Amino acid sequence: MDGFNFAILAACCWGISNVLVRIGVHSLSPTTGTWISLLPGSVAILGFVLIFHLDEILALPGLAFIWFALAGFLNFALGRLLNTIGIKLVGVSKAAPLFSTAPLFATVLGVTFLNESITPQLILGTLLVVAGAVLITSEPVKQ
Amino acid sequence: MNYIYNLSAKYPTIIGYISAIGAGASYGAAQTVGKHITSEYAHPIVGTAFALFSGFIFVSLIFHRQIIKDVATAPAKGFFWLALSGVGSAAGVTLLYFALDRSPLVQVSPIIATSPLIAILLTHLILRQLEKVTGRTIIGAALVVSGILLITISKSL
Repeated sequence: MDGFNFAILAACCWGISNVLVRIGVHSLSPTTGTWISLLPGSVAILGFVLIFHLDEILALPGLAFIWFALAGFLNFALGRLLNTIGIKLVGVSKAAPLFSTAPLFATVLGVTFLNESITPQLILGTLLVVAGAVLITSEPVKQ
Repeated sequence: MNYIYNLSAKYPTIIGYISAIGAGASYGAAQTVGKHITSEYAHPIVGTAFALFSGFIFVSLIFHRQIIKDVATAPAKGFFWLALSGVGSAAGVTLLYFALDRSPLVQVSPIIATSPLIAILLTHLILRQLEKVTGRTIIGAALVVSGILLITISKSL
């Protein structure tokens, strides 16, 4: 199987995952929902890397684990919690496109802190994202 | 935490949109940190494994009271669907690495960017009774996806 097929499967997994959050969070608080959604994945992937990348892990400096913790807090604690709250309050169809604005924020941070360059494509892309977000968020939600 | 619950009960739409955009911002910041991790320290899957585990520990520590309460009282089906969503999300991350291992980012990122459209399609097919997908949402999502495609492709060229 080539990269194209794996990418399609990955996109489908994330799409399905968001729909499952919508179903599950109907009867559970977002905090516990976030906790249970992290449990199987963290055990499975940590087990996988401990088996297949143990030598690399043992050679890591202590500072690397601080960076892992920061990434974990941003992506899997704060990000996933806000993701679950967003889906619970406004629904998957409106929240999912807003989650996908992550590359825009990454680019803004890259331009601000890593001196990445601003290109015409970047400006046009940003305008499209903002226009899409305005269109989605300006529509009233039936609770 | 009670204050946030009260706010979300009072202004569900505003808090919902702020949360969704906040999630995007948090994921974006995590991507910047992830870039540093993969360039300086470890293979992406090693970084993801430890980040995922630390995220789990943070949530367990911060919300342990609510979690213990819900584990004792909430219906099992909610846990089942959310655990399954976690498996789906983790599978997505793993598949992304396989994709990037076999094809360049410029080919992979446009496909990955379509995941919100897949979520909308699935919502329309499966969750019709819970939420209605409007034309305006589809156009808005298409604009967001086009913009993200433009940004990620221009960065990876």
